[in-house]
Amino acid sequence: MQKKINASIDAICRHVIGKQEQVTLAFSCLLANGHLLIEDLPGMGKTTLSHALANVLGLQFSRIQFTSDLLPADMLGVNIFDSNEQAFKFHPGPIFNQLVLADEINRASPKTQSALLEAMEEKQVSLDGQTHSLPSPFFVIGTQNPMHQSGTYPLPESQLDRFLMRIQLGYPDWQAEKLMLSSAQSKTEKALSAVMQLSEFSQAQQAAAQIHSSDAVIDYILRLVTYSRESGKFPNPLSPRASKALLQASRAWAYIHGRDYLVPEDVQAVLPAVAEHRLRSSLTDLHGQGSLSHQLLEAVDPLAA
Amino acid sequence: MLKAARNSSILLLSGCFIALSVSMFTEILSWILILVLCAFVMRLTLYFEWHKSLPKVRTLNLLALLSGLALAWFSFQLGLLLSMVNLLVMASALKLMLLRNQRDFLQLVATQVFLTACGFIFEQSIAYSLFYTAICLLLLLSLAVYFAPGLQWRTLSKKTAIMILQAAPIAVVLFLVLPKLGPLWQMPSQRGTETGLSDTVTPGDIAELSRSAKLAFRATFEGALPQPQERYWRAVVMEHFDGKTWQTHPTRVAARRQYLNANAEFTPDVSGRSYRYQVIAEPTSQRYLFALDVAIPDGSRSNRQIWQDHSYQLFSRDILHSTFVYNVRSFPETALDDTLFSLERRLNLQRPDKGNPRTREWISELRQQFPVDAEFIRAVQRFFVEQDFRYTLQPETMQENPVDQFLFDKQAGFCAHYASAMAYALRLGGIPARMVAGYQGGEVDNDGYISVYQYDAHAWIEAWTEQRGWVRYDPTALVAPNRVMFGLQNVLSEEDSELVGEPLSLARLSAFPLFNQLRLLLADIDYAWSRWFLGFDQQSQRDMLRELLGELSVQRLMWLSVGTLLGIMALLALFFLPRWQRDTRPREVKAYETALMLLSKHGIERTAHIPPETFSKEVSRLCSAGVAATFARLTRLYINTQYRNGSSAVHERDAKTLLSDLRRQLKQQAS
Amino acid sequence: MARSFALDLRSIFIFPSVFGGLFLLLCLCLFLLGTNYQNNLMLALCFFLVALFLINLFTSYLNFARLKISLGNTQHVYAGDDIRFAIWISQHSGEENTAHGKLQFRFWLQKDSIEVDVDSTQNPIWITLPTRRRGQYSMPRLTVSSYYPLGLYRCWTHLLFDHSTLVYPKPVPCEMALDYLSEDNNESESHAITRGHDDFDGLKSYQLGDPLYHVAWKQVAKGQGMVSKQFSSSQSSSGWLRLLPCSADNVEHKLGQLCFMVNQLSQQQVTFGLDLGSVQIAPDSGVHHQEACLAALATFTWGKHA
Repeated sequence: MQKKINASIDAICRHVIGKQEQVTLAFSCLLANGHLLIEDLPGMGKTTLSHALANVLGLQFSRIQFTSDLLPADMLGVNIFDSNEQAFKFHPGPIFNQLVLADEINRASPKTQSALLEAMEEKQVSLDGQTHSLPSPFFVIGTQNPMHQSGTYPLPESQLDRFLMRIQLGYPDWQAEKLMLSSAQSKTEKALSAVMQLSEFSQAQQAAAQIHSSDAVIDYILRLVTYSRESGKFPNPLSPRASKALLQASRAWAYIHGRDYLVPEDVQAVLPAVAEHRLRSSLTDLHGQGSLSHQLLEAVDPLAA
Repeated sequence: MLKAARNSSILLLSGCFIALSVSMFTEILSWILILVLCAFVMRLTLYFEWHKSLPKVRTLNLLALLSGLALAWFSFQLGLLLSMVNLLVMASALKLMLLRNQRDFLQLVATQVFLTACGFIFEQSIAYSLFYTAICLLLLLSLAVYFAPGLQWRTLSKKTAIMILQAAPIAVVLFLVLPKLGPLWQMPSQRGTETGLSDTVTPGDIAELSRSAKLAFRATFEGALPQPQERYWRAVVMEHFDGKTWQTHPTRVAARRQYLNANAEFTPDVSGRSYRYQVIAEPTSQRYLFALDVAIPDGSRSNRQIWQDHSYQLFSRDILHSTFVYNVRSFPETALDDTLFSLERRLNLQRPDKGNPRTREWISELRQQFPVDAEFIRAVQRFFVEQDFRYTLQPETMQENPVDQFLFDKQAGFCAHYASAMAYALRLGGIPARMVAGYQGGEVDNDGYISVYQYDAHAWIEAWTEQRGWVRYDPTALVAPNRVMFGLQNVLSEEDSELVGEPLSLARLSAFPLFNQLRLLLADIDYAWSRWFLGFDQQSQRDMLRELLGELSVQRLMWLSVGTLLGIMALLALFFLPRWQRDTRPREVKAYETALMLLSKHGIERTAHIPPETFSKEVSRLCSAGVAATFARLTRLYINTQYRNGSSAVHERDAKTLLSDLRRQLKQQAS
Repeated sequence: MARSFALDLRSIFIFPSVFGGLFLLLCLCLFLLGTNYQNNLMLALCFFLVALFLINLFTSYLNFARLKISLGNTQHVYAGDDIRFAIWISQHSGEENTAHGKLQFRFWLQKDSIEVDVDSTQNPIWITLPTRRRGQYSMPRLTVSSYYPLGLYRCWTHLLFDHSTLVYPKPVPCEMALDYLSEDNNESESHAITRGHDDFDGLKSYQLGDPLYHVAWKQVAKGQGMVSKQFSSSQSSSGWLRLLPCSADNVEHKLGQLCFMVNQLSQQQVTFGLDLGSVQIAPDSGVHHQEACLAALATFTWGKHA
């Protein structure tokens, strides 16, 4: 199983060059059964990464471009009167896919955003009294453009909380970009084929959830969370949901790295991705104050009894 | 503003208050007790929110005014001490009704603690002491609840208990070492609640003599105990008789005062065998003491505290407000003084001019028949034996000419009747005679002490003759010889024993060995309590210190005070300095931390947020291969125990050897 | 770092409370009474209470010294409202025992104190400070005191948090006075036609994600497949809010009005700038812009305007 996972990650990395860490984080996010938020400028490979993830895991994929006039129904689907059958027929929206790329999520109106987030949380869609369950597994990869733009609706903190992780891709380094450019022609055509079966993936998910977490690690997580609450340095302290997310993500990370137990390194590795967007009051100004999650990490000693 | 509903601290305080008041029911006026009950019920209803509003201040002011007036009226009968206690209880009850803020609450708690202490004036037995101590601790708990209302009961009681246990040893040290002072000034005593013997006896008035089973005193003998018929404990001598009532003669009282002021003391000449014993007297609020004839104070301390007058009566210089311990030596073979001063003769021949005509007639006939004093006395005694006299605790009242009625009509009574009649008869016959009240008998306990209870109270007479001086006669013994030989319970009829209190009934169960053992055990405990705790006074303290330090010089006393201070400080340090905490963490963890320390000594510091695995990699970058490898193994052990479900026992030896390896390698690396 | 205080020997004051004095008086009374009545029970009680008094000194102090008090973040408020400071109470790390009992918090020069039971209160504790004027409010000295365990001692400490907060002017409802930018004097401002809702622009084939109400149902009914309508609009205009010259006693009123307008415009997501004479904030929109504008209004000083 470990081999398959590593092979999958390698395959994606070959596609999204120079982003080993982000790819692994994204993969562990899916492994922890959580939704992913990618925040970056256009053209950094957000869509490529999503595509690659979908392909490698053999998931159905759809992409919804969020705009200010997008209505919930546009995304969720609509009941349309079928003149042939003389009955209303459910016309499923683009959300009925295993992996949904919600592009520029902050452009949509709050109403649409909350419809999406509700679907993410409940894994089902309710329409005209009918409940349509979403496919399983169901992942949403949301993207946001961090540059301040007018006419956007930044996701409120409560909703940012629904994304297990938030990652930034950032510019590739010289080497990686060169490699990308030189191999551009051959790569584009070569579509990724599925490396893992869906059943295998859900097995891995279950295994990851079983990873042993000792008291020492749980105490460490608690100390981190408590520090965020009591130090007064963080505008938005971490919620119990955040601490749960932190544990889940750490487990997935440990699983990917072939361990059946948690060490503080796992927590430290996933913490920026899991906690940063929860600690911030709004998503803007990423580059201003430096990373809050790193401040948090540096303040808490993993060994202290 | 204090919340009244569901306020446990106030409820606890109210509970303590009512328990305290009820325990003092004999001292507290019943209408004040009703007031207390009202206040308690009021707090109860407020606590359970059956009723929500407090009474109006104006209503309570009116109530306070009325109660104050009523108490002022009653205070004339009560005396100062009881008035004060009643006032305190009354004021507390009113305050409890009114309790509104923190200040009220704290004042009330302080008052309750003070009242508890007042309880100790009235009752000093073990049971009451325990009860009052419990009340005091509950009051402290109520304070604790008030200042930490959110704490769970269990934690709170534990915390309070710890504090109390910490305070106890310091209190013991203070109690033992702080110098004990004599009374600084005269305190008001409880009028009407003086216990034990009274200094007047009116045999005809009493229809029923109910006797309590309370302890009067205990005597611890060195060596042999006196025979039962020798156990006449003299207490009060009564020389004035008005036809009905015997009491201490006013002339005698005046003479005593003179002697006391002149600091002149009567010391009898004694000879023959003697008993040495220590008496632990229960508080009586009076001055008289108890001793077998003829007694002299034993030891310098008792000499200072006790004095004796010409009637061989022993007195304490201070009123017995609490348990009083003294040593005496009694010489049973010494005859009482045979010289009779004219004053004494006059006192002891004094008799009323009128009343009791039949007795007068009988005596004048008898005296003519027996002109010799000894024969006359024998004739009077014979009268008691020959006539059909009966011993009872429930005689009929004899208001008119009581001696006549007793001698010729009723012929039934208890010791005071017999003593009174005989003394009067002898005086009529021209023989100086007086009544002596005291105790007779007592219960011998295993440990060689005699416990004398109130029901052992007795009265007998002394008559003076030219040849023999003062001689004791006990007419009761002629009628009921068992009373003297075997104690009261042996002569009582069925209905009489009903009159005697509970412990005597327990004493009647002495046929059952188990009960008897239990009773004696309780008596022993009570004895130890009175002797070692209640009787711990200036002298005992000095004896104890002398035993501890040798001769008490100023220097040694200074050392003692310094030592005490240091001792208390040491206790405080023991309680509060951070306890040496036992390290229960696994060895691997300790070894790893030692390794970290070693590394930091060699300049390799772990930044606080670096986890072990990462740090191990860092070490491998910075150190020699050997150090890195050993540290990596230590790290792995640490990770196994801390983060994995690894069993620690397997690696125990490893951790130690690795640590010594690391030390060695680090040294090598340094050199 | 003065946003968190771990109490220790140097920062704690301890002194017998009034009740402690009463308690000592009680002990003295018991001693006199016990001596005069030669009553050992009373004396023992007296010594026990004295010992308890001594023990309490340490218990009280140690309990208080276990506390760690930190300041959380504070919301900015409008003048006249109360500033709510969030106080977090925690224990020293590594301490096995925890602090107990009631705590009193009181700001310097404030009459009212608030009482908090450490054992049953959820963090944070809110302490309010009334405000009257706009401006920078630095947090006054906070006195924390405790009477635990028996009220015999008062432990207290003064905490001076290094923290200040802004109090915005009180909003005064008024007519909107947005000074619109005219196109001719601000050529560079982008006025590009963007896709919007105002004017019908054309038809395009339906894409997943297009709003349903843009679907041209007439065309769909005609069987031409799903077709969407396309619209366009020009960006809503932006402008300047200006503080007009006024007298000194009127300026607070004006600032209040500006404050109201800033909030209104931000709610409507209008791009605007703020011109206070001495301070100018370039046109923008969004939460941060709103905060910046309000901060400028809060700290505006009259003298500079002239």
